[in-house]
Amino acid sequence: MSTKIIYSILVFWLIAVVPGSGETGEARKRISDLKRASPNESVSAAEIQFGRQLAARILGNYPLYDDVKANRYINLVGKGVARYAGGEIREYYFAILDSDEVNAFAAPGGYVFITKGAVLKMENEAQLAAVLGHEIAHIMQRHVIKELDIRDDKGSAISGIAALIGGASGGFRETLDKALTDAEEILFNRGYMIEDEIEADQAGIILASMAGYHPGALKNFLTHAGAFEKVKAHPDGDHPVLQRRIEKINAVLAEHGLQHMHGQKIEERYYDYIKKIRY
Amino acid sequence: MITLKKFGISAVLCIIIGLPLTGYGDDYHYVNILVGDRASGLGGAYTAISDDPSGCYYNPAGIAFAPHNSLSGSANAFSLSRKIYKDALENTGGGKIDWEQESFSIVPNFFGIVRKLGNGAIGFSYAVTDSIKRRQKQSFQNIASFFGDNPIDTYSININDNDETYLLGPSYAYRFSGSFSVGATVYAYYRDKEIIRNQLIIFDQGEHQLMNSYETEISWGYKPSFGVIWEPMETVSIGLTLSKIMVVTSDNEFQEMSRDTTGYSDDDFSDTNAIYFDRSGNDDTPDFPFTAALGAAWFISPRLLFSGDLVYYEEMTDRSEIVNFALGTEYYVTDSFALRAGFFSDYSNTPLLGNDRINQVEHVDIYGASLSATVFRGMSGITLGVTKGWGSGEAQIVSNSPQIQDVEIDNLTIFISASYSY
Repeated sequence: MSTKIIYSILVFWLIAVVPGSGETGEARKRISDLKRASPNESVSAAEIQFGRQLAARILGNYPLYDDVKANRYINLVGKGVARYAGGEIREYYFAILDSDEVNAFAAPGGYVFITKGAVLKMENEAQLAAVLGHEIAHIMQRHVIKELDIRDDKGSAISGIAALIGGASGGFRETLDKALTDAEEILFNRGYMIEDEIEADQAGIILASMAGYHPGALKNFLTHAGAFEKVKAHPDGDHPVLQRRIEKINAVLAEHGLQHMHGQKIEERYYDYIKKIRY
Repeated sequence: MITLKKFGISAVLCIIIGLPLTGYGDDYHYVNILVGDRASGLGGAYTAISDDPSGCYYNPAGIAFAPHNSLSGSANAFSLSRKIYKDALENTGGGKIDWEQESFSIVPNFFGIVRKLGNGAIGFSYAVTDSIKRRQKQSFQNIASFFGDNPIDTYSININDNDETYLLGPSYAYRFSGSFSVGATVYAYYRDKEIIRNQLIIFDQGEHQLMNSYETEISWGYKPSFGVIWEPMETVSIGLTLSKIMVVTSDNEFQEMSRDTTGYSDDDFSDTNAIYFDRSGNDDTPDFPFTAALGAAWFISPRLLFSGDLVYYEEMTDRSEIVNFALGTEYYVTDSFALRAGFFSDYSNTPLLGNDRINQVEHVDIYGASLSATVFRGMSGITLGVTKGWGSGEAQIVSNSPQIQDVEIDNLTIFISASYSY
């Protein structure tokens, strides 16, 4: 084969074939490219970093409850529910806080905490799964980040957090520190918007039900233990928050035909794992 | 007494045992190092893919298809090559002795960067396409010589070769439509070669032959590379790359010193008391073949692809026309873990050896297999891979002798690389 022949083939190709070419090029993208192509990937990484720092602050306020068996159990239940969450957060982490309060916290990026007091108030594994599902829903819906309302130059709250995390200057660090303090304020004092709380209730019920738990577990827990998170004061504050949440839970159970569904409650295993927990 | 004599003093020693005519570098094969992390795992079957920085080397048109700006660097963490000339020598008892050479190197052999610019892309890359650090340090006793009544008591050979080829330069590609792109790379070419050979032969009756040679070559040139990629359908890509190394300047020096007390040499070297010394040089530029690589890739899914290349090298003086092949496959076991495997040829560009002829260059066809794994984390990826090459053929390492030796080649390269997209 001579050089002339090869050049001739190339020229023929350029002249004859190219005009007929269509728009292609997507198929060569590998699964790693497609994952990388999603801007959510880097945003999720920023969320995880932000959440990790917020989790550290939560642990600064509440020490971890030192019971390996109970914490492993909480993680097994939580990860079982989180399997149905989807989204960009690939890994969720669960832990019990050594506090007699009845409370639970969710930090962006997949960090979920539940207090010893809440665990002791629960009557079965289904209620635990429902509360953990509620916290997973806060993370999925990015309630804390949206509430912080840090926006980038394109108006995106999520990218705003990413910019803060990626920023290296002193100004960025100060703003990040303030954002973390504001997030603490939301979790510990101010509370979520009532709409966010209701959204988390509804999504949490769906997640726990998909995992096979009794759909009415969250309603039962709220009825039995009361609201386990603070809710931001609302203009129509004359409407009791707990009552409103239960009404919305009833609505979502009815909407999805879950009120007559009999999922697992699992009392024996629950008490077996938490029996050493004491006030 | 020192006598200056131009050219061919080693012929004195070649009467008994010649220095190997083979292997100044590995000019007898064209695929001496696979370049690029992904491409190496695919056995070099990359002409139709080339959509990352190593595309600057394999097919510059491919970088126009790069999904991201990216940079990539790779290193051959461990590269070992062993060549055995079977039964090269015979001892006085009739037993056969192998001649063994090894090359070991650690080379950062590729770095490249690609940046997308609208429908085009620019790139810059550095590649080490050949790196040989050949060593041989062997000593033999009681070797048969051409002079049956005077066998060799001790034969010592010491080889120390260093031969590296570097490419460095920019690339540009433009995507005319969704399915067609053209691109070009212009590499600066630099070769640094140093060949050191020492040989001592002591005969039974006390005479000796001693030779030392030292050869260097510094060459500069350029390597233009022109490529096209066409995707005739969604999942198929075809690529073509044309290239040729053009050497502009070459500085070659040769120095040899010998002494022969046997009296077996011809008239020119018959003074058994003389030390012959030769130093010479020239600026002859080596020629390289025109190369055409034609490749195809089938992107079956975002997890699986197959690719294949045929690479043609034109015939040249003392070099045969050859066509090498490469086949590769890539499979993502998970979203962030990819395995690659390849199979390729590295045929000898020398003619087959014939009987009843002397001083023929060796002919060893090599086949290779590659395997690599990449772990992706966020925007980065880390690759660990291995390439194994093997081949057998024939050589004539004894000068002026029609005797042909079997040759076995065994290569092993472990490479690591990192890439980052942004």
